[in-house]
Amino acid sequence: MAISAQGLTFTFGGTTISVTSVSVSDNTELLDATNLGIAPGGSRIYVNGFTVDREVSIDYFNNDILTAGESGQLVISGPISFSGTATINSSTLGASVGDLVRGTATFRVVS
Amino acid sequence: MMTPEHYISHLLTTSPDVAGLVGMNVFNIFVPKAQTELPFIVYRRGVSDDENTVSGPGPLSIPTTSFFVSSWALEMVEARRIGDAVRQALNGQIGNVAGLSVVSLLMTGEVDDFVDPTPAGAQLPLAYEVRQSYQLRWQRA
Repeated sequence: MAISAQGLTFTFGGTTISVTSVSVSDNTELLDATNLGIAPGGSRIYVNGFTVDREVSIDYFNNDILTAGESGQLVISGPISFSGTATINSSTLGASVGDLVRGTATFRVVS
Repeated sequence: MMTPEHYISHLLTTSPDVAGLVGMNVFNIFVPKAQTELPFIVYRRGVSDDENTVSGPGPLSIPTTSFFVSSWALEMVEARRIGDAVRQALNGQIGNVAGLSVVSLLMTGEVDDFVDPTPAGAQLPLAYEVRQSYQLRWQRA
């Protein structure tokens, strides 16, 4: 079922940010636990390694520089919903001729 | 309610340089049939883009509207002179002007052209055009 992205709100450190795009990316490392007991033609065995590494990327309108390294409570609600403590991994704020001030930022959810 | 069209018209008709060249012959979209003499200026809205956020209209309802302003005259040098006056009247405007909150008004391009009406059977002289394009960012009320 397709769900509209409209209605999503994004806050970081208690401040609402006017986002035009949000993406949530989960990544984890699976450990190869294949052993010699696997019969020829059998499948490899993978086991979970570290905790899932969650990264949140946004495009937004504002003139606030989101300082890399800053931590706060990240809350996404609406069509996508979760919250957690996050640290700004990287951010870029741009001002171009004839354009509005707009930026991109990436957060790492740490807990 | 002040519209971008009112705003463009206001800037052109209150510019002494523009008025000195075309008088009040500044028209929106089309030239009235009663207007049979050059020179004149015709302006029209092109594409208007609104940018939105996932939480709703935004940012603060600042659309981008393109405008085309055509300066017509019987001589190319006159059309060029009018075009330069139009550029000086419009290009770089910012702030609250004539009741409209303008984020920016910038010229984005310019082209010269002409119309030869004789192939269509009309016994009229050549007409020359300087057509400029503008990008207007404004605050929607």
